[in-house]
Amino acid sequence: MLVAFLAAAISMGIVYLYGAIGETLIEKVGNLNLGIPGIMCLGALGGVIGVNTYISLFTVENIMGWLLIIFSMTFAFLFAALGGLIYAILTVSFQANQNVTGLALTTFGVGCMKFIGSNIDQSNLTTASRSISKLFVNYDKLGWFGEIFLSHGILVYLSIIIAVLVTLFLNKTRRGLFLRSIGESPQTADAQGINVTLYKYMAILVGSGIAGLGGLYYVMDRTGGTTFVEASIEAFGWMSVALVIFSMWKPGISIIGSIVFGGLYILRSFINITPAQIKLFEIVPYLVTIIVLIVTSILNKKNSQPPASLGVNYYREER
Amino acid sequence: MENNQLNSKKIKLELRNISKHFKGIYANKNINISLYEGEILSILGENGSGKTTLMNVLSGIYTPDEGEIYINNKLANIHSPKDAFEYGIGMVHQHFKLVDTFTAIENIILGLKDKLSLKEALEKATNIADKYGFKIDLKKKIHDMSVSEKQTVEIIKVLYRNVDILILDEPTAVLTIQEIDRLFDIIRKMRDDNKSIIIITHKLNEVLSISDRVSILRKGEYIGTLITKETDERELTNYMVGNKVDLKLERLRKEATVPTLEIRGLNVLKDDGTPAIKDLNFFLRGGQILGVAGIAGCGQKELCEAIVGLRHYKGNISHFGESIVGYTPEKIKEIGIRMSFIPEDRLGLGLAPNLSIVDNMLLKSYQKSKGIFVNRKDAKKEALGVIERYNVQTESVDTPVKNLSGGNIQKILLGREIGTDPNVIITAYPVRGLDINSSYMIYDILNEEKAKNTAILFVGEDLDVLLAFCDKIMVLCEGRNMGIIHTKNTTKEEIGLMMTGSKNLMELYPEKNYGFAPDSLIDNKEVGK
Amino acid sequence: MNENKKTHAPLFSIIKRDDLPLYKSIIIRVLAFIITFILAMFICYATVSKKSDDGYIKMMSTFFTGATNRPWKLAMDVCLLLAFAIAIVPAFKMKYWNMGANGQVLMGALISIILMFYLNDFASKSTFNNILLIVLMLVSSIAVSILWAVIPAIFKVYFNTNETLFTLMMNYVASGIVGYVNYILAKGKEESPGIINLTSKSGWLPTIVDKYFIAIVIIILITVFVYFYMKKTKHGYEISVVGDSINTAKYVGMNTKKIIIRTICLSGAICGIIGFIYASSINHSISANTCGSLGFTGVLVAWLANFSPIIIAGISFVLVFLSSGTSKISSVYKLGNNDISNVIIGLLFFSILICEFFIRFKLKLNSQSTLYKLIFGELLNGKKGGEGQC
Repeated sequence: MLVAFLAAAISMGIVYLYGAIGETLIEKVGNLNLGIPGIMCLGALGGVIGVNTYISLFTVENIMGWLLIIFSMTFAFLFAALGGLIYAILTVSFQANQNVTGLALTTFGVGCMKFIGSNIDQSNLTTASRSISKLFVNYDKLGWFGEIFLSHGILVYLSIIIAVLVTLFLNKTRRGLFLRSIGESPQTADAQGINVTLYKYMAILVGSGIAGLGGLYYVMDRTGGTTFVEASIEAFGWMSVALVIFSMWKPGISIIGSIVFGGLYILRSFINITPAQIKLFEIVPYLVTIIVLIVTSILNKKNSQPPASLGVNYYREER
Repeated sequence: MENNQLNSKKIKLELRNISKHFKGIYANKNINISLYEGEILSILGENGSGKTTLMNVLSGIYTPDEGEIYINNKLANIHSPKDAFEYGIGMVHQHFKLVDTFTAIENIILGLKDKLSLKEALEKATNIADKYGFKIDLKKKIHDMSVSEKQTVEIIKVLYRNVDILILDEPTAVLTIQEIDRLFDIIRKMRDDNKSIIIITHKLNEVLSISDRVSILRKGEYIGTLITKETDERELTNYMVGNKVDLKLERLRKEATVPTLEIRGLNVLKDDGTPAIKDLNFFLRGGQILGVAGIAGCGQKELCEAIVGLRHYKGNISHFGESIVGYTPEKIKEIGIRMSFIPEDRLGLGLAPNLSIVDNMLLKSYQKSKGIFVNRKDAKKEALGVIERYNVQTESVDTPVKNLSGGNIQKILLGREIGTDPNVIITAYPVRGLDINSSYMIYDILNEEKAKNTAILFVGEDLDVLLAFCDKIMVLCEGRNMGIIHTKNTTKEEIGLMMTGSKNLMELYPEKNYGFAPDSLIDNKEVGK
Repeated sequence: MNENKKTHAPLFSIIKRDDLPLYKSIIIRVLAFIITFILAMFICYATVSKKSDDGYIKMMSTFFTGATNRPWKLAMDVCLLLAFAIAIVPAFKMKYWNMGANGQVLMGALISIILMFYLNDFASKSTFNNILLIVLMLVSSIAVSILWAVIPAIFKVYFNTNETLFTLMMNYVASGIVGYVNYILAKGKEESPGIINLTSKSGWLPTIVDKYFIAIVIIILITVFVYFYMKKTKHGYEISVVGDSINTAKYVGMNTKKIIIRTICLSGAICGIIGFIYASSINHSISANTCGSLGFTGVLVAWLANFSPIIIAGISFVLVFLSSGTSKISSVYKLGNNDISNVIIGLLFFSILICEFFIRFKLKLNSQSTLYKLIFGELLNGKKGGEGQC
């Protein structure tokens, strides 16, 4: 029971983890992207289109897991990054309000996924999903350990690798330092000759792409390709935004946080409660986030604060 | 001899016909300046003369509207700070450009693409610090540093980039005397290293003591360049302020009244929690102007904000003997005290920049009208009155105040404040950034108020003005009162000494009880000394 | 030092404009709308033409009948969006980013539904009792919505807790509570009790002229009220000062904490009234999706209308018109679902955001840029290089 629960918690949490890593990267350059839910939807859409493209090229009978993953990931990443590009052009180049742009992008992205998605052939998704949702074949031989940690698809392990890489990038590399400086003080970064616009674009594009993989993962792995258009990816997107706060802008912590959030979300299927109580359970992650938000603001510690310029656009000749 | 030596040197940098304007007003107009290798050039000018704008053009923060920059006799295209660095230009800004949550060394390597690890970078930076004699812990976070430490980080940051043109924007404004001396030693060492250094300043003594040559700007225009050894304070002042060098400021002669505002044992903290004002005692009389002198940032802002109730403080403030300790601006207004504050930061504190002139007039008076509606009719009349009386240049009364020029903004602010018929005026740098005519108008207005028995606290930066205009001067040094003197009994030199803390009247003449009114209205038993 | 490094001159530099004349800024906006509309119809047609042989004209007529065949419904939908945007205006004007209108409305609607459910017997006894119930619903909806709105505001004021994220989270907490209460009302058997008081109509607003008439009148009154509140009252004035410069507000002795909380209460109260309208006039039932994403769309509308109630009404009309029309198209041509309207709304917002940029800034061609020289170099050969503006 506990083993199944933990395995499911990890499996669910990964959806949030992708979104949270992407959003962290974007927030680290000072952009609060409320378009993440829309971007994740675009990622899901792209992923499905990628799968269909693969199938139209190689037919359903000839699915090679690794090639399919590369195909669908590329598509998911590009679609999501395209959403990010709209956001970047509007907020970075065109100085539009970040909250407003983000919300518009969410409306657009969710609409796109549902509209285009409903006109897409979904008949092969479940078949395709089977070939990518388990990385290790004989995981059950390792008992509980295998069940919890090795029963997942490649996208789960990839998300953790990405989280670790992003952490290393942000904290250990020169470019990571530059990137963080933009979120703290774009004026300073600019005066030091850092190309603020370029970094913002890169962070937003790559961050959006990573977040988009969360949409792909949810449709093609977590739900096994069964729910696409009806998927509640939008709500998961907001959970990802919450997770960023919960993990205090540290991708490393969001790995743990995502499992906590995932656990809270799937807990209802593991304990004996009425459907009514399930509804109450759904709000727990949000309540936890609110509490984290309040506690960090009361403590007001320097190292658990959002990037100082978060939400404010940078215009060099402001006077 | 110096002259010949200079002529034999190579020209490092040349600015040709640089112009830059903001909203139709020229901040720089046809500026031509050249800089030699291995020299220290001062750029001298009053506040608002365009020095900083010019240097921002040079360091790539602003793009000039017209003009060219030549480096080593080649046309340089500088469009960003990055370009500037590549041409070997580094600037230490007046407002430090540091990331608060980063350590010193992280700030130093910001923007650099060398392949050094953090450890190697630390070593290199430490070597630079040792070479020039800086004492600093480079692993400390910026938000834990003092102002002078932050400046040190800024300078090391520029040196680390191996620049050969170094621009320092008002580097001494925030430093103590000893720190200034140390800084100047370092700057001379850099010159001996064949670096070219530009120092922006408006302090004549510093120009004379450190620079080889001095270029003067006035109201955005280039006036000329002098060799420091061949000039003196008088000549520089002439060039800097133009023809009207003689301050025709009149000190209104008038009997002062009883103490209006008495301040005892005032202690105020800065935003960062360090003390700004320490155990300050003084009082203001009606019909008298008390000037406040001091190096920038030694508690003036905090003092003003505490008096008007915008900042927490410890100590006693009394208005005609009645304690107003801990009162918010709201409460002060409520109990009928007519206190006006004309802050340093006009658009950020005194006015609402995006609102119209009418709405800004309303700020102080909107609550006076009856009912739930605001009365814009009266405010419009008031606005038209201020515009006419003070000759404010504006398209209409509905123009947002941020679209006005600095002088006009100040006139609106002052006009509104005077309109409330205050009995106390607290003002900080009221003529900063204003042209001469506007400045004189402001002085006249304050004198008119003085004639009406208003008590005035005047925080200033120009000692000549303070001496000519105020009745008494209180000198602050690092938040402490160095003494309060009648302007007719003192000299610029004495005030200068007090500002730097080398002369402390409080300690020299403790029996004089500086800051306590002999005819105090406070019951002394209660408050104590 | 390397002297010959290439420099980084961008082709365009962005320059802040002095204020543009009003008529120009309106022309830019109208143009943006027309372009988006044409683009949107093109997207529609591209999809439709795959499923049907109907021509472009036929599709457009479907679009217009879809938008206009139920004028009262159209008016109600316009008013709803208008109401959400108006509820957000006072808060946003203060730079308080209230993203939680959805949650606030849901909570208001929820309490009304609960009252309708439990006081049905009482209200059925007499007309007077029914009126009493309706008044009670209105008052409690307002109270609960205020509570929901003011919690983040209190934390914002005292601890500077980020209100964007806080209010966002509160939406989902509200959704969860609504889901839970629905089960309770349905005695745990169904997901929701469905339409409340379908037969007795207790707590329903009476039908005068039309089912939606009273609700529409209420919303128009609120809009007029907010317009005058913001423009003419001392409170409205205080809001504009706090929004422009909070330090200035403090400096002139305004109690900014009080002003923020009071304004958020107003915002919450309007949300409460919207919730009441949902319960008493529109749905008579509740679900987590009752108000869709109107709270967010309201934010977009309010922002893009620069908080002016009249422009808000205009944009609301355009949006609802567009989405009712496309929704008709998608049902007539069986496009699967109604989400094409969201795509089009998204596009419309993007285009308005872009034209906001051109209203605030102008682009200046940079004669020293490498790209510029590449493009125009031939033309200007030998000359010093000119500058162009667009």
